[in-house]
Amino acid sequence: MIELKNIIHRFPGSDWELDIPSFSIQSSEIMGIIGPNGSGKSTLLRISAGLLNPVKGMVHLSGSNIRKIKRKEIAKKIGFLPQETGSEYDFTVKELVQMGRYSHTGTFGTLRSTDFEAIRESIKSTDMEKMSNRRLSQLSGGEKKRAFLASVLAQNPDILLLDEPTSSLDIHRQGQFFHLLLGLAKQGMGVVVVTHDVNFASLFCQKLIFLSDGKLISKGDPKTVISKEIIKEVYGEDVLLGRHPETNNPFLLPRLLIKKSNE
Amino acid sequence: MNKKTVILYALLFCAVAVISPWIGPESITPSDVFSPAFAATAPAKEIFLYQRIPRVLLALIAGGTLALTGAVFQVLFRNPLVEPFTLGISGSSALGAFIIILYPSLWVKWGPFSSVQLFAALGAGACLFLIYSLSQRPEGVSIYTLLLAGVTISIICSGAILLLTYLSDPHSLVVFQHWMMGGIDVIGYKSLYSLSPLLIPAAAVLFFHSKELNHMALDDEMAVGHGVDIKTVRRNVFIGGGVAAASVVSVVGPIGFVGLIVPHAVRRLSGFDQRTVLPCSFFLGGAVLALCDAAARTIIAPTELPVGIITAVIGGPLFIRLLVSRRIHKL
Repeated sequence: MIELKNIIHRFPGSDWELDIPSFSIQSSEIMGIIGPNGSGKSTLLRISAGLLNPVKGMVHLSGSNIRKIKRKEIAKKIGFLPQETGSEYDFTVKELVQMGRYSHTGTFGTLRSTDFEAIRESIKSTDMEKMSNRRLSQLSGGEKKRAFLASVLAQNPDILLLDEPTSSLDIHRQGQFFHLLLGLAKQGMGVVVVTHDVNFASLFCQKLIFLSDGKLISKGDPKTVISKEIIKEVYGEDVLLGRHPETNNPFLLPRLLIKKSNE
Repeated sequence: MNKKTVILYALLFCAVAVISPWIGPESITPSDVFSPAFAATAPAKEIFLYQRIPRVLLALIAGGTLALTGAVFQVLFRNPLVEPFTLGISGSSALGAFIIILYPSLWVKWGPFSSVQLFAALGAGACLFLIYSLSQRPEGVSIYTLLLAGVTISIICSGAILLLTYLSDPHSLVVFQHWMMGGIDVIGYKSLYSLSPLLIPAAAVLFFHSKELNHMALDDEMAVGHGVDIKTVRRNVFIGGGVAAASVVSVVGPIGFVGLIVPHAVRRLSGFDQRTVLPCSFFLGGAVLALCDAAARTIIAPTELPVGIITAVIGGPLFIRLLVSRRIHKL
């Protein structure tokens, strides 16, 4: 479990401030972080992963201050998929996924049977089996994203932190991706996903956090926190709010676009 | 690591090590070498044991080290055009060597180390220290500042060398120019001994970090997310690579292109896994330099060419081909 305690962060030379009261990232659930560009979503995720030290406040991983835990130990518990994923070299998918086992291997990086099993599993769960020998340059944007996710899953983390993982995926792949996350959460993994897609977040996340200009606006169950007022406060936009006919989860459409299309 | 590939490169390295001592202006046969010590062929045996063998060994080690450091710097700086000398190691060691050649009153002798070697190493060490200090940032070493500082030091050293060239006497100039062309025409094993105290630990550090270097090819956050302490890896690889390159340059002078071309060739032939690329670059770099040296001592025999000329003649066109290659961003 990750606990964030009264986080305040500022970047040097900037007036912008991230000010988030305490909250925790639990196992067996998907939490969505939603907000407009520049609201602090990625910064909050990087602080949660221990990649960025906040100016004030603390991050605890399994009860210990994350700053005092070695990177290799953090990697065994937290899997982090950044927004930008790229490689200077044209590795194969299998080579990339093997790198995910780094924290579990010794000095010489020798892979054991448990490592090969984890690699196989993560390739299988991301549906990359047929592409495991392909080079990254031979993959589409979405396939590349899944290959990087597979390398993070190979870490066997307890908590998965994903920064806009579905931004380059079509609607079918987005659905598949969120189903994969749902499966991981059911197996006990805690998942945090930064996304711009409120509708997918409404369907798949058990908890949502709305951020705006570095402040936490609302937090809770999607069925209760997704409202016209909250969306207006976060995005400054009027929306049409509906309910999914099968799950009763809220979904939204921007009103402005509909107005324009009627003109 | 692809063990079969590494073994293949190692076999090539061994084959060159066995064959090249027999190549040279003086014809030497196995019967000359394996004859009794006081036989008529003793001079040939002397040449073989105290000139050819140490020379080939030095070429294998120097070429291997330059290619190894080229491979690690290319991934560390995420730049396919970086070679060991991009960091100013060549310019600063040349300046150190030139100063001692110009001022023989400064000559010192310490164990197996010659004055030129000591001053060249001192120059390279000062350069490494300076650019490392300049590149320190709160979040760790800035690789961009490191690279820019290295290029700047290189330019400053070139300016200083031009000034000293203008002021120097013709004899010193000839000695310096010969050193600058790069040469491995050593006699005896002293140079090899003098390499080992710095080179062995530095190369060990580089091989030790080969698995982390794979992660350094990814974005920083991805590498850190995998559990790699990138600050420590950057520091260790920079110091290890710098010391390894400096120790070789101080003995053989600035031999260009091996450190640039060989890692590219290895990656094209054998993939991108640094655990394979590093040892294979060492083996291929050593074999290439030993073969270039064999060519250098036979092309216009009995006169010998500095090996740096051969590597430049072969490496230059290869580099241009690489430069115009559309695949360069993937190398």
